[in-house]
Amino acid sequence: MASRKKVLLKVIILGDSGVGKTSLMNQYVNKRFSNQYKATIGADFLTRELVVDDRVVTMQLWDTAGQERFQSLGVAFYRGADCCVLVYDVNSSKSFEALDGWRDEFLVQASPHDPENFPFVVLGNKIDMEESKRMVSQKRAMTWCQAKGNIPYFETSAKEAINVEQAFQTIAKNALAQEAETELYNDYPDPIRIDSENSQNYGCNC
Amino acid sequence: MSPPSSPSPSSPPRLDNSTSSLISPPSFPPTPSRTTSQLSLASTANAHLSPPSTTEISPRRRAHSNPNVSSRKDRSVPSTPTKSKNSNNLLNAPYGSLALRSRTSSSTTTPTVASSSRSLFEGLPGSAPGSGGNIDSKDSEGLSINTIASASGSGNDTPASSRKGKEKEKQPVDEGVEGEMSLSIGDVRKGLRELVRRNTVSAAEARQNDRMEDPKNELKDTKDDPKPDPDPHVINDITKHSISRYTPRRYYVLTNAGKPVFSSHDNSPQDNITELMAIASTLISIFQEDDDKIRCIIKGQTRIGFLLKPPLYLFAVSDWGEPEHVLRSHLEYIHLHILSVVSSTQLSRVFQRRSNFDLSRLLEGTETFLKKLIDRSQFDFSYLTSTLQPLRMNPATRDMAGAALMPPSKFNDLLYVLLIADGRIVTLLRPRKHAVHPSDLHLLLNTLASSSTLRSSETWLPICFPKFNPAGFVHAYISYVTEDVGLVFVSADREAFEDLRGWKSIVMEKLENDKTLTKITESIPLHPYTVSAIGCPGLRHFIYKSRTYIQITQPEWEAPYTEDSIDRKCLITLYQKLHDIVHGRSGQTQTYKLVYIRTEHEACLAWLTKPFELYLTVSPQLSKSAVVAAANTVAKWVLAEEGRVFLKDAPVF
Repeated sequence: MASRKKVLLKVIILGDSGVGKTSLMNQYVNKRFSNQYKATIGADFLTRELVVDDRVVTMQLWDTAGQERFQSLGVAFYRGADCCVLVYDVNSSKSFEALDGWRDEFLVQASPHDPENFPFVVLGNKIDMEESKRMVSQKRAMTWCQAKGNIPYFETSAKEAINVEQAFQTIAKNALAQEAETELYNDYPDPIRIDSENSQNYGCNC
Repeated sequence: MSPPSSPSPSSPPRLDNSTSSLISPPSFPPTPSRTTSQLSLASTANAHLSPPSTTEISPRRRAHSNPNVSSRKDRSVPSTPTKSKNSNNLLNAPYGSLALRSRTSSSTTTPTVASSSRSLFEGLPGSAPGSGGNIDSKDSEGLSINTIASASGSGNDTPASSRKGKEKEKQPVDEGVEGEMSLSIGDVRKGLRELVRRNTVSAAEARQNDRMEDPKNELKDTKDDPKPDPDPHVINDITKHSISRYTPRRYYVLTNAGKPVFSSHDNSPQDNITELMAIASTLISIFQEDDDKIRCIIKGQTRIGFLLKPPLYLFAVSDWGEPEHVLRSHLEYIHLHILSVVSSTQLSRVFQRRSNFDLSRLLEGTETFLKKLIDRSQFDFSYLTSTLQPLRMNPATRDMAGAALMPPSKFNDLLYVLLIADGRIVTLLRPRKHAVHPSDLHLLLNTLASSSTLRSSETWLPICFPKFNPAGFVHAYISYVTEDVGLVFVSADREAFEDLRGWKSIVMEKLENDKTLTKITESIPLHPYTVSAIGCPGLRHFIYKSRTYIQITQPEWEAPYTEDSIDRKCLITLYQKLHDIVHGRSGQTQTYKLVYIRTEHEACLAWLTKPFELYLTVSPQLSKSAVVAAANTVAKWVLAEEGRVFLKDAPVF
């Protein structure tokens, strides 16, 4: 199939409330950062175009609300995602421990056809804070990522734009790799038999 | 295309000016003094002198008041205000102006409580104004859910709300949070709906006030209800020629994962559409969670109509003021056209395998077809009525063409045989046991109209006729024998190309030998006729649908209804309103056989009888008896012309 047309990737961003999902997205799309915290209600959508291996890719970023009370969009929200980005705050063990739950939730709701190989990416955000505040070591995070099937891991700062571009580039690349696998639909169409019991009247006799 | 065993009446219905003879009630009111009958006209004694006089149909049906977001499901369900009656303050929401409401009641009244009891989103302490979950609408074109609230923290005092068995501890208040909120409901969905409902109610009230200020719109019926709910069947709004209306409609198709499939306007930046699709899919999913289906959103003059055909969602944005089912029918055609390319089976198969499938790439190249289809559906009444308008020509020539096209019996899998001239059907042959659905033919004709390639070479085109069989493809042998005249043989046998090609030369020989082909070509420029052919002063335009043949005929549009004019858009919308009223397509409890509407610019009459439907437009100065006379004249004229304007005896094989 010709791929002149842009590829569209649906990317879901998940993680606890306040870990910086919206900030990461804003940094990536708008190159902006704000210290003010604004909880996302329901969902927020942003788009960015990028080039991966000579292909123009449109990323449709679905930023979700970390707060549980807003997470009721359910299956429809996760359906047909191409990549899932799990975000935690390196200064909060709790947000890291929650990753398991987020991942499971995604797999249950989205039920991707090949859950083993579904592309996840983990981002440890807020590495710009003082080292003394850091609660989750890089090693701990990477161990978890390895255990979950070698999920790519990035340490980021939305505030200082550290690793954000790289992380999203990897997200797009991994999503695209998945996408390429089953792009083809070359089933031969089923023939129709007009003499079969197809002769219902369609209400119109013209 | 042959008539069904034909309830063809011996004498055509006549519209009688004095008594209602053949027409069942409500009858056409013969004099202004009787306008309080069922069909109420805006004819007070001085009606002729008050230019923007408008008509509405009484009796009022309170049930249908304010169908803003009408969601299909809960017709009989009483409204559900009790659900959230307690003061669940969640967010402080500024009122976006999007009117979105699920039609919770069709009995009783709409929830008129605007803000008192359903204060889900109100009165948040410490929150800045202008913050909160805000659904508002950007420009006329679209909808957006602005979901970044500026002042809402995560409430640590929240009773944990569980959802779908998922239990999680609430987070402590985060650093840098400004503002707190008390929270008692863990369901943003409800919140969104509530917010939207509230907006709707206020919008509805505003509208009601508008109406009150304009007493001319309030026709009689005072006994009925001193303060009636706005009636959705009021026609007044479309009768004003407003420049702000009639912007080109926008159509969008997305997958149920929120990925864009098609947009009728690709001049807008890609990003917007990508985001718009995500928002649309979220809106749809909000209702789906409750096993409900969103049908439309009304915001001011703008209507956003939805059609959900998983794995595809379609929606359209319009400010034309058309009845809801018009947008829906446009979307249906778009959906059918997509199916004609991929077939329903393949579509569901590919999405079963991968819900993230990017259909837009599979449909690459079909945009032109869809755009053409949209163009045609805007003004072509044969789309809305699911009818055909064949080439107007001498019936003898038509018969000769039909005879030449009678296929030999060896073609077992032949489905349809068509002769097309200038994009119109000359004749159509079908097997005895298979009917033809006009929608399928529209798809075929539209495909041919959109592609000059198909018209310039012999083609073997796999096409799915969704109304015939959505599961698979038939194959069309397409050969244009002159620039304008084409033969189409549709077969279920995908190996039949050579056979059909061979047969085509035999057909051609016949058509040429008796000069049928020449005669057909000569008929093309004679197809259009002007309304003056009817010889009825004051008559401007009409659409006549034969219910017997499921075909229409209409004269050319003439000034002021020129191409792309506001007048034409306004008139077609009037026709659509009339069509809606006589057929009760908006769920009206009562339908009418005869409806008369007068605007400043024209007067329109819809007349529904057993053998035909007639929609006609006359000068607004014409008296009612003259309108009735015109209707009778048109009906008589068409009856006399039937053989020319309709395809009456399509051969079967």
